[in-house]
Amino acid sequence: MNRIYLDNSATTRTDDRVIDDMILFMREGYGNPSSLHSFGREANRAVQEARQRVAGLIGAQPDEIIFTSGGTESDNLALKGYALANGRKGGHIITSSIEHHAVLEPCRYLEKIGFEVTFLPVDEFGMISTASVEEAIRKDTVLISIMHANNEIGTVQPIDAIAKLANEKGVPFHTDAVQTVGRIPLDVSNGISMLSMSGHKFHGPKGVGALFVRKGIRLETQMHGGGQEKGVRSSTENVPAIVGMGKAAEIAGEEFDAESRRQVRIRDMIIDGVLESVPRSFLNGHRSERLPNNAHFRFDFIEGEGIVLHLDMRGIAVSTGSACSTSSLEPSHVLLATGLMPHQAHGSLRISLGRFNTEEEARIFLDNISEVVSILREMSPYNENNPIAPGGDQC
Amino acid sequence: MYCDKVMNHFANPGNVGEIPDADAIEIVENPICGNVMYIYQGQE
Repeated sequence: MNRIYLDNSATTRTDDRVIDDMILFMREGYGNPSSLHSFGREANRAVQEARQRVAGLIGAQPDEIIFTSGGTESDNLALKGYALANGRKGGHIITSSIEHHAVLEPCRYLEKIGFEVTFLPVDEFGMISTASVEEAIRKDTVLISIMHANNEIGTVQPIDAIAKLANEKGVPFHTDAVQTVGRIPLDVSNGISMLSMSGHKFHGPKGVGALFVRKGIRLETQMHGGGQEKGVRSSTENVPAIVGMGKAAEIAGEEFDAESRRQVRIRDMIIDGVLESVPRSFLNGHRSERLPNNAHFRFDFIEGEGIVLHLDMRGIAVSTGSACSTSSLEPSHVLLATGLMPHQAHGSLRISLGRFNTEEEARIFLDNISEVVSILREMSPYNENNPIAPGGDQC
Repeated sequence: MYCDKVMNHFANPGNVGEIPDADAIEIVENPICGNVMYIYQGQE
């Protein structure tokens, strides 16, 4: 069976051009970049070249890029590293209620050790208002962290306006751009202080990410050791993965405009197709301010989990609310924050596109989704005449 | 999480439907985690 992968917000297929470059640095260029001999120098050169490519994708200087093990580590380093280096006596942090767990959990940790955190609400489309950020800023606010685009519902936040506001108020601004780097234009020169990214979200390898840290920003190291990455993040550089992320960044930069337009076309085909062909289907997130590769729906009377399993049996891979929370029965914090009831959150489905998806695959998905929804609705005790009763106990 | 037994019931659901003139209906529901069951009982 030819399988169709529509879960590119969870992870992407590594591009063959990336794999080719990576293999070279396992087979031949396997030196340690800290070594003085030619093996080491070659590896070091490759890491610096990758640093330039990653920096180039977001308009940064190469020495403002710290390589990490992925998006989660980048977020942890940004939040804890900044808070601990600049707010030792505590302080106030502003973030949103729909951040990825890689931001929310470091914030909760910082609360435990004496920081105060404001979790800003969002509107029904998952949008954070710049005005609410402004209202939340206090004298002791040390950091603002707002994601660029949400990983579940795909809403793109007004980070240019928030970065401008943060600059005016003299508060550093971090953004988790894991879902947007390589997908929509990004330029850190608009006043972003720190930006997290992840290699495997744009057809690079897993296990590598980066944090952009503007010159002059001080971070408390979260990984003590041999002093690599300017002492902020010790550990022998993961050269093949870093090379792979660099190549992925280069490809994304080159193919960006055409690819983004192509994905928007397929995305809109899916959104319009589902809303037209499936009764009682709704779009989650924002209609226009959304990731080029994200479509997120909810369907009345049935569960997303059932849809995912049925589609999987037909060879189509999609996701319920968010892949990060499928092992838990708790409804998605993002969907609840947009005002959905728990049962509505459970009826949600995310389709996320990547470089290798085609219009033909979107058509096959559309053919199958109506059927699957019908099958599940036939079994569901709920329907127009017997709508679900909100409420219920904790799981 | 999805063992063969669960997947088999999922792929080939049995005893699914409604008994219109059931003698008893038991409803077990918890929409928070998506568990809903209507159990119909009828005597012949």
